[in-house]
Amino acid sequence: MTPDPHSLDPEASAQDPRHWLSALADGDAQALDRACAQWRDDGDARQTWHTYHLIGDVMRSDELAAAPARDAAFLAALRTRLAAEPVVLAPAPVAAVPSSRRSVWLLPAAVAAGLALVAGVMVVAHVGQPGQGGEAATLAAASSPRLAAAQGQASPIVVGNIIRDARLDEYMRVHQATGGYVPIPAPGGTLRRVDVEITPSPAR
Amino acid sequence: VKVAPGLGWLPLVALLACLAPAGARAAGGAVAPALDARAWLSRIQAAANHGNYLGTMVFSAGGTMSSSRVWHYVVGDQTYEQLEALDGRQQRIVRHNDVVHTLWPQARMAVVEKRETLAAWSTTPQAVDPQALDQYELHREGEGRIAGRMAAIFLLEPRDPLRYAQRLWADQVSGLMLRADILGPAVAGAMAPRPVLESTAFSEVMIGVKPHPEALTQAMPNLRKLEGYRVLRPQQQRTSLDAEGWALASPVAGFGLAGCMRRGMDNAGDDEPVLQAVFTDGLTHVSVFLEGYKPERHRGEMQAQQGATSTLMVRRGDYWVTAVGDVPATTLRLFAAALERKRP
Repeated sequence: MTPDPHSLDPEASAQDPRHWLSALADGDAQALDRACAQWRDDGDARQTWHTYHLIGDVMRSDELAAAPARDAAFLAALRTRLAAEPVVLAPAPVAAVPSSRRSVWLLPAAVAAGLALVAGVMVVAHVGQPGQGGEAATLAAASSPRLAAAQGQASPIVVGNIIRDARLDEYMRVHQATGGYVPIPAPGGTLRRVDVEITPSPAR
Repeated sequence: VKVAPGLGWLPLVALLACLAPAGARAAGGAVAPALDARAWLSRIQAAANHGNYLGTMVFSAGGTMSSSRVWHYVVGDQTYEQLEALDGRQQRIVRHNDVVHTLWPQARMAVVEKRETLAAWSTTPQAVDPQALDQYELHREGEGRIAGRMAAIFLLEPRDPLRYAQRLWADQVSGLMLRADILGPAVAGAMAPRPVLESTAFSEVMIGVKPHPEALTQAMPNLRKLEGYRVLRPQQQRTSLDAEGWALASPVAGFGLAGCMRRGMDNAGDDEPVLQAVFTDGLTHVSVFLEGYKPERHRGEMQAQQGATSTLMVRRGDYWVTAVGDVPATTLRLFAAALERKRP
């Protein structure tokens, strides 16, 4: 597997250090080390990373479009709040031992949760990647286990358009709106498919 | 006001159906007599375009389900239609004759477009080829009951594997289509019925209602001004393959080019318009979108299926081809290869 499956010209792409960031943003785990190092050492890389994600957000939904200043303000506020948090340095009283023991347990659990979250994101991102051989079931295809099975791919079953692509959405909408060409229109055919978005219960 | 495609030959067909020997129609059961079949399809078409009805449509595909509310009023030569998504993201489509407003209230977004029809696109008055339904064999399958109404059931069986079969339920009284199922190909050797890829049906409907177009316009008091909305009016310009430097090198059997349009992609946040070519076989249609290949925008080639709708994105040299349609993916592959660049 080439380091960046999207690049057309591997040489030109390899010269541009940003392609590691791009690859990681697309869920390529192989890019993890180099992208993180770049992120740590290069201020521009951090901005690029933010830009990639903003682009991704906007592609998924117009509603996620926000001025970068808002993210910066959020981050600044978070840092201020973190700095204001009291640092727990005092030795724990005896009574608190069980709870501190529990926190020993909690920590790996939290880390595991973090890993699971990343893994989940990776799985979804992988669905969105161009597959090997160009025949991969991707994107909305994931909602059709039949197709995934037909192509012998172990794709996770995703209900609805979880991975959204504004461009594909627009093509689908335009195609359906072209119902005027259909000699025998079904009533309401132009709105045959609505977006059933599943919003996680703790609202944003 | 555009005459709905195909209505030009409706009276003639109806007349011929009456004159046809009764025996031809009484044959029943298997293949419906062609004239009877065409008369029914014309009835379905006329009821959808000229009827006054409102109801709730339920759409189900691949284990997902959604519903939308439908209003359709015809007053004189004015047609008013509203569709409202009842599930998920709010979406409302309001149509007055050829002007279509699509609204996303949560995002405060609106797209205003002109609805293009076959009749409007065609340069010849004979917009729909009466032979178009030769791609399907029409079987009468008896009666059923949908949304509390008696319906005549028809099966449209494709004559080749390039398209899907459809089963239609038409209201006995008005001819309005009450339900449409798109059926996948039969599994070889299996006795099981063919899979239903997707189904669209009224769960409740009122037909022949008194039209209240003002209720639709009242519900949208700011339709004209759309205050607080970001209003997009994507470019829509009729064109031809030839004028755009493309040629239909290898036509897909049974599909004819219905029209060609240069269309803005503002809604996807893109300034550059794409070329949309629409093909129809008389029952279903396929859109082929053509645009210049841009590595930063066009990632991997992909093929997807949702319900009966297949999507294919492939690169062809300097161009990026997206084909969408309620046909098998193999048919879309033929479409992606059907168009050839004549000049840069």
